[in-house]
Amino acid sequence: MSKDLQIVGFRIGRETFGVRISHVHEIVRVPDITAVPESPEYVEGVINLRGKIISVVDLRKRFGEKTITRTKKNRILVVEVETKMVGLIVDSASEVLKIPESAIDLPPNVFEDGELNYVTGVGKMGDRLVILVDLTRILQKGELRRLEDFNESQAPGPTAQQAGLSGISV
Amino acid sequence: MSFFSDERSSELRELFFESATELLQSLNENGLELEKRPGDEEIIRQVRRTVHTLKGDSAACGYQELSDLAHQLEDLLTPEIASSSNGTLADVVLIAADTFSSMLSAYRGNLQPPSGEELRLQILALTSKPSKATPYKLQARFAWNEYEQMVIQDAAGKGETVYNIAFGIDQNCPMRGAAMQLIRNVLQDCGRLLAIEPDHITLAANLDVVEAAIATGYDAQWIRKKCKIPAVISEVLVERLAGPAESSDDVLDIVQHVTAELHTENEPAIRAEEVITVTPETSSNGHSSQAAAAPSAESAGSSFSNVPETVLRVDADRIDAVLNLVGELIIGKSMLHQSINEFDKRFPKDALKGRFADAMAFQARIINDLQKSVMKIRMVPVEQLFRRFPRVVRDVAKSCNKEVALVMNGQDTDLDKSILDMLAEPLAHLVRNAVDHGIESPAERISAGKPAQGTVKLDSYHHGNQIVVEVSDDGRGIDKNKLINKAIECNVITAADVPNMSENQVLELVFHPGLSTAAQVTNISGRGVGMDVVRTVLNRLKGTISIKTAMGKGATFYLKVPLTLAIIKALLFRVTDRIYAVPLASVMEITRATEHQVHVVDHQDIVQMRDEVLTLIHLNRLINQHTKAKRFFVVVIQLADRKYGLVVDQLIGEEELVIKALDDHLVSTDLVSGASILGDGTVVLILNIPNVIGRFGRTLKMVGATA
Repeated sequence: MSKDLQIVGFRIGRETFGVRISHVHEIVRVPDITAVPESPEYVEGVINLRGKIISVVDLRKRFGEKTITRTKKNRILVVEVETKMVGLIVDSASEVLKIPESAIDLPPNVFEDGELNYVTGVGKMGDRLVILVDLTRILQKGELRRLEDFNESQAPGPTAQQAGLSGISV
Repeated sequence: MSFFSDERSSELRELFFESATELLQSLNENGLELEKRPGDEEIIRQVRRTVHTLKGDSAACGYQELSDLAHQLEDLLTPEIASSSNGTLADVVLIAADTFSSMLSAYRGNLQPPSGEELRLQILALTSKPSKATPYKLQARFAWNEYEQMVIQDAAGKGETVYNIAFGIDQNCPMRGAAMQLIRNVLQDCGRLLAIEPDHITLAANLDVVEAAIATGYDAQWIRKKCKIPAVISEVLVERLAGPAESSDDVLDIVQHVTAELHTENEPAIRAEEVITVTPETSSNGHSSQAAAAPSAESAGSSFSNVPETVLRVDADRIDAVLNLVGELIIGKSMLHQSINEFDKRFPKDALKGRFADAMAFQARIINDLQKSVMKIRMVPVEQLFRRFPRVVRDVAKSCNKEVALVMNGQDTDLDKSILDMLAEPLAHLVRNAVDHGIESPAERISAGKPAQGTVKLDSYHHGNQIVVEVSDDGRGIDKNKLINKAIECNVITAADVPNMSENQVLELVFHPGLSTAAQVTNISGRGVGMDVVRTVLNRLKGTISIKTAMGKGATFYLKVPLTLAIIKALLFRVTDRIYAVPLASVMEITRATEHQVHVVDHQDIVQMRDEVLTLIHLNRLINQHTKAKRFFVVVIQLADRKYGLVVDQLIGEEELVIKALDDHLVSTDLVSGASILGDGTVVLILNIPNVIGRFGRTLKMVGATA
C-alpha cells in the first residue's frame, strides 16, 4: 500500500500537467486583467483577487505554446511563490488526480538540466501521462531573469529595442 | 540568571531598546545644553537621571558592559566636576551618547559590544582631575545629627576642648575599610570620640572623607601630627569647636536625612558616595545641595516615573494592519455605493432607496472618521526628526571649525511616521551640506559683512495636501557657474546647452550623481552621491525638492512630501480602454484640445495654453499605441519649473484611492507607483508622473533625433 499524491491537473495545449494540491491556493475564472506597462511579454498584468492585487503570468506563453486561444474554460491557478501570490493562466483546470507514489517516475535525464528543471516527475494514470511540475521553481526570480535574457538575445523584439533606446537617452 | 521566560525577556529587551533610544536622544540634547552652560546643575541632574535610568534598565536586560560604563559616567556627573572640567564634561557626555548608541546597536544585533575604551579613558581623565586639584581644599561639613550635637554640646559644656577633624583619605589607599579602622584607633588615642561619620566600616568602601568630633586635652597641632597616617590619610583638617556646632541649619539636616534614607537602599555604597560628593558644595552653598540631594533620592526611587502613562507604545505593524483594514473598508464603501446607484436606476421609485441612501451616508461618515483617526495614529510631529539635528550641526561645525547656530521652527507639524523615517537620511545630508558647504568660515563671513556665526534653519509647515520641510542657510549660496563648469567637466552637459538652461535646470545639476562642487572630499561630504540619494528618496515618497539660492546670501531647499503614503486623492481618466490615475496634488488644471492646436517643435508635440507652452505626453504609448485622437483632454502637470500635458481620452473623476504596492518582481516598472481597486473591482494603475514624463518626454525626442 503506497500513499496517493493529490495532484491538481491542468491542461496546456494537449498535455496534462500536475501540481501538488498543497501548492495551489485556489483556481479562479479569468477576470479582467489590467496590463502593466513595461512588463515581460508572458506577464499579462494584475488582477483583483478579492481586494488583493496579484500579478498574472500566462503559463502557456511561459511554456512556449505557439497558439493561444482564449476560451471560457481558461482558468487562473493562484499559487504562492516566495511568500507572494501569483496567478497562472492555463487552458483548463478542473480535476484533482490521485496518483499513487509508485506510479510516479523520476523525470527523464533530459529534463534535469537547462530550461526544464521544474519538472519533478512523470505520473502515469492509466494510459495518460501527467507531467508533475514545481510551479514555484518556474517563477523564481533567477529563472524569470534568465528567460528575459533569453528573449532578448534570441529575438530582438520590442524589449531589446526599448533597451537600446533607453541606452541612448541615458 | 534570567527571571523571565525567553519570550518575555526578548519583549523586555525590545522595550529597553525603544526607551534607550529616547534616553540617548535626551542625553544628546542635554549634552548640547551642557556645552552652552557648563555649570548648570539642573542639566547635570537631568543627565545623571538619564544615565541612571539607562544603567538600571541595561542591567535588568543583562547588558553588563553598558551598565558598567553608565555607572562610571554617573559618578562623573556632579556640579563640581562640571565646573572644574572647563566644559569637557559636555564632550564626555556626547561621546558617551555615541558609545552607548553603538553598544546598543551591537546588543540589538546580538554582537559583542564595543569596549567603550575611549569613553572610559575620558571618564578617568576627568575623575582623576579633581583628586589632584582638591587635596589642599579638603572641605568638610561636620553635619552632626541631633544626638551627636547633644554629645558635643555636653562635652563643650563640661569645659572640654572639642575638635572637629576631617580626614582626606589618600586616593591610592586600597582598603578604605581598614583605613577607617586605623582612623578610629588614632582618634581614640587622641581623646574621647564623640561622633564619627560615616559611623560604620561597611559604608566606607568608596569613601574619600571621614569626619569626626573628639573631646581631648591635646592641642590641634599635636592632633594633626598624630592623625597623619602615611599612605592612608592625605590630608587632615582640624577645627576647634568653642561651643555647639554651627553647621546645623535645616538644609544640612535634609542632606543627612537623605543620606540616612539612602543607606537603606539596595546600593548603599554608591549612594553614600553620591552624597559625599556633594558634600564640599554644602559648606559653600547650602541651597544647591538641597536641590542636588532631592532628585537623587527621587531618581533612586523610581526610574520609570517620568514616562507618562497616557502614552502607549504600539508596534507600527499593528497600526498598519488596522490601516489596511480601513483601506479595504473604503473599497467596500465604494462597492456598496456603486450597487446602490444601480439599484437607484433599476427601481427609481422604490421606497427603500431613501433608507439605503441614509445608511450609506452614515456609513460613509463613520468610515471617513475612522480613516482620519487611524491616519492620526500614524502621524508624529516633525520634532522627532528635527531633534537629532542640533547634535549633527554641532559635530559638523566643530569638525570644520565653523560657528553655526541651528534654528528650528514648526516642530509640531505632523507627518506620517514612515515618511518621517525616510526623510531622516536626506534631511541629515542637507543639513550637513548646509554647514559644510553652505556656511563660510568665521573669517570669511566677517569680511563679507556677516556675523561670524552662521545660521542653519529647519522649518516645516503644511501646504495644501503636502508637508514642506525647509532647510536653509545664510552661507555663500550655490555657485551656478562653478556648477556649470563642473557639469561640463563631467560630461553631464555640453557648453552649447548652457544658454538654453533655465536657472532651475542649472540648479537641478546639483542632484546629478557624481557631481560635487566641493573642492575636497571629506568624511562629511563631497563625493557627490548624497544629493542623488536625496532626490531618489523624494521621488520614492512621491515628493519633490526645489532649491532657491542667492550668491552670498545662502541657499534654501524645499522638500515637499505627501501627508501620507497609504491613501491619496487621485484623478482618474481613461486612455483607450484602460483606466489610470495620477495623484490629484500634482494636477494643476485640466483642459481640452483638438488636433489643430497641436504643434510640433523639435520633434515634440506641444500645445499652447494661454501664454504657456505645454509639452504633450501621449499616454497611449504606455501600451504601445500611437494613434492620435482628434479631440482629447489635457491634464496639466507641473514638474519642477516645466508644465506638461498628459493626453487622455476621457476623464472619469476624482476618487480616494488606497494604494497597494506593486512591488512584485514580475511586474516591476518604475512608470507605475502603485495600484488600487475601484468600487467595481477594477484594478487601476497609479502613474509615477516624474518617471512617465522622463521616459516619454525624452524618448520622443530621441526617436525624432535618430529618425
